Amino acid sequence: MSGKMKQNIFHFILWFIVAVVLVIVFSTEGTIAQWGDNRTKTVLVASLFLFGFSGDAILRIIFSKKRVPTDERDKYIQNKALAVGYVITLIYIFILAISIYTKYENNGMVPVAWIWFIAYSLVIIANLSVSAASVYQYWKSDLNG
Amino acid sequence: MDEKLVIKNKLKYFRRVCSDLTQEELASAAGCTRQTIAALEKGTYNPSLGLALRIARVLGVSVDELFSLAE
Repeated sequence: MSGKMKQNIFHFILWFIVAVVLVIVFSTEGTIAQWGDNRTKTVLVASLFLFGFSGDAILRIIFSKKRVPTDERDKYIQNKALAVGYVITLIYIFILAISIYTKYENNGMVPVAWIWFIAYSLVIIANLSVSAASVYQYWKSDLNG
Repeated sequence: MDEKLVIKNKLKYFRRVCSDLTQEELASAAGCTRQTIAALEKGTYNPSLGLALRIARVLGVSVDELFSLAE
């Protein structure tokens, strides 16, 4: 297993944890309706993202080019993963936006918490999809033959 | 034009039989990772022209001898 594959596995686990906690916070009763009034939850979600990005930065230091050599194949896999991640993120945003619209079409307005959820989950989905696609590419490359 | 390019190579043969190099040694000399050499030998990755030229130079063969288009 290459160093870059390990980095992507850790990256995926890190953002998966962030995703699970975010979904738990947003699925708690009253979160959507009282988002603006609930200071604890807004601080919790902000801290969650601080955890995610800090972990990301630590991973980048641990798996830096000086410590883990990379080459053109790693760049090729990363570019492929970015393309896949881009499409997955677009599809996710489209489906989520349409779903929220459909749900609140008759109300005439959407709770602001959903906008925050879209913003936060967009970052998570982008990170998760790129790292998952990278791991899949490395795994496929190692498996064949 | 859009057909996927399938490139065959004799990398494993030239590396082991002719040059007696390990994947790690070849990777180090050609400026890539061992995993890339392994992927090339398995045929799961097509190298750039630059990498193909560097590997050919390390093994002392021409790119033509090392890589060929699959019929």
